Amino acid sequence: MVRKVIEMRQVRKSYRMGEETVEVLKGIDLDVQEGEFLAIMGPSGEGKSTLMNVIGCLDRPTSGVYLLDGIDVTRMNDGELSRVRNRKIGFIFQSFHLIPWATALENVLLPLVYREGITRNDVERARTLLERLGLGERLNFRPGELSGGQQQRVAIARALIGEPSIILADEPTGNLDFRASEEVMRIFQEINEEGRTVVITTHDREVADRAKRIKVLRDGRFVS
Amino acid sequence: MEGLSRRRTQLLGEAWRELVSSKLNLFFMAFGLVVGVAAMTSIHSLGRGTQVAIIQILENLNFGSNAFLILAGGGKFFGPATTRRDTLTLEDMDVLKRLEFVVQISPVQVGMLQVSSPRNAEVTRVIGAYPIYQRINNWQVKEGRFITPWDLKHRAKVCVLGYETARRFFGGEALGKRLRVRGVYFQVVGVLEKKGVIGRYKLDERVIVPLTTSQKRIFNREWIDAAKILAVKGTDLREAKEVVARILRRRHHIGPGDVDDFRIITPDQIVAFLTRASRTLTALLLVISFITLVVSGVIIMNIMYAIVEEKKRIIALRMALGASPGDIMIHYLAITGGVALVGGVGGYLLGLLIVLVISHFSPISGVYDILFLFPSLLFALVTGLLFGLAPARRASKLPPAELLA
Repeated sequence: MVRKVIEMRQVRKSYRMGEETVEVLKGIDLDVQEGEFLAIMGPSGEGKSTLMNVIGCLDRPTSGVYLLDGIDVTRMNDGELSRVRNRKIGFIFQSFHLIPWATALENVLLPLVYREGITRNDVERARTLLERLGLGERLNFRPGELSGGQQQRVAIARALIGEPSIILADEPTGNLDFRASEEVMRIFQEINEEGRTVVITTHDREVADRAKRIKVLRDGRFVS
Repeated sequence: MEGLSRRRTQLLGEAWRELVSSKLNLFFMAFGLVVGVAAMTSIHSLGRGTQVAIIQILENLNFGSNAFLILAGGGKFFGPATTRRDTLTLEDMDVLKRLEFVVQISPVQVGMLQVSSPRNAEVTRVIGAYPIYQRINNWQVKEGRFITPWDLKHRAKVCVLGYETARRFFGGEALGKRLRVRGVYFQVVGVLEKKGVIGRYKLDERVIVPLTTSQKRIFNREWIDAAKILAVKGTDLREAKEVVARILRRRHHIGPGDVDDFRIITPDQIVAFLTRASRTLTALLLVISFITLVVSGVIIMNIMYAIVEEKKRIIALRMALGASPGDIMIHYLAITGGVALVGGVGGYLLGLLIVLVISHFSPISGVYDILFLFPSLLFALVTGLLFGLAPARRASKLPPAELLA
């Protein structure tokens, strides 16, 4: 039987804006199985980022059930949530979010600092990862010395280093040119073929087509 | 366990890398601490140095824990006499000498008088003394001899000069020469070794003559100005002072409730008097230093708030990657801790430099040892961590979801 990584039932998220309460997610049901490659599509402002924040445990749903790897994360405190993020989720962002004064290698290793600390073996693994992603010559470059595509590949390596249950990429190609986008999507396909679960958001149909499954979000609900 | 300490070390490493990534911020935050700590340590050091120097000179004069001074005339410590002064006599001393705890008494007459030689003429301290004066003040004769019992008995017109006086009046070749004091010629029979200065009191400028000679030929009076009493080692000087005071009051017919016409001074009072001025200064400067530290603390706090604001997306990123609020707190406290470390060590070194420079160009020499490093660091750390707490808390409470979009 295939394991469910994400199981969401009637997840709602609303924000208070002064007097008014704005509901951004209006009852999301979502199942993602181990080894899936899911693209969540939809124009901006329809709740994609909010959904990603909830999936990534950066935010708690207002109501509903969310089981990550079978564990209920809706009632966890901030400290517990940070542990879950550290161990189970590999984040990739539209604007890369690398630490500017750290080298590529140091950026990749950062999640492990917040786990049990970096070991010599971890450094070897990070080096191998970067080499695999074509950055073997740039291990000690800082983000400012790398192109956008290269920076995003460093971010992918950072997401992979902790062996998470799921790779979450929010508009990973949003800041990249065509060639770099192709490259990044090829990497996603590759790592998915190795058995990793990947969830991305995009507003670009061509990008979404690289995934195995597409769901469209509109006005806080999945329409397909 | 190993993993835990490795993790902790690497958390601190992360903070340190962030700190040194902006050297300008580090400089501004550490600057106030450096100045404050340097001021505090150097002032403290110079104050202690002065005190040590005074104690050394007093000990050098054999004015240690078992000696005290009787001055003619009552009044405030070291101020002018406010009662009659002509009551302290050698007969008083004869009585005191019979006390069990008294080892030696050295009575003196003292005056500032016009003194002249063929080479120089100036007002100089002239002292009429007993032979015991030399031993009781632990003062070696450099050339010639001191006043002898024979000189005293025969009211000899001989004198012994302080090192500086000998140089000024005879260019150093003083033995056998004649010195005129109030129209009387004295033959120089000895020159004392160099002693130095206590504050403005120049020990090496003096002319010493036999007390009997000074009574008849110079001051034309019997009463004495002062006497130094050497007590048996281990004597309780406070008790001894009371005994001496009781005897003198009775002999001087001072009724109950009337003020003493003499003063008794112990070495600890002299040290206290000489350090009081520097202590007031020290207190004042400590207050200034403290203000400096508070100001630098506020500067640190403001810069830290600015850093947290500027780095909030990186903080959110760290949280996304698994840093707990506690980790972020530690991260930013470690940054102010690093600033404090730099500021504390820098302040210590600057303080050391100030003390070395002052010691080189002035007679004060500071006491500065490595132990100052610990209070310096402690003060800097307390300031840094105290004022770093609020910014670190703000950082740990940032909402990661909103900042990463």
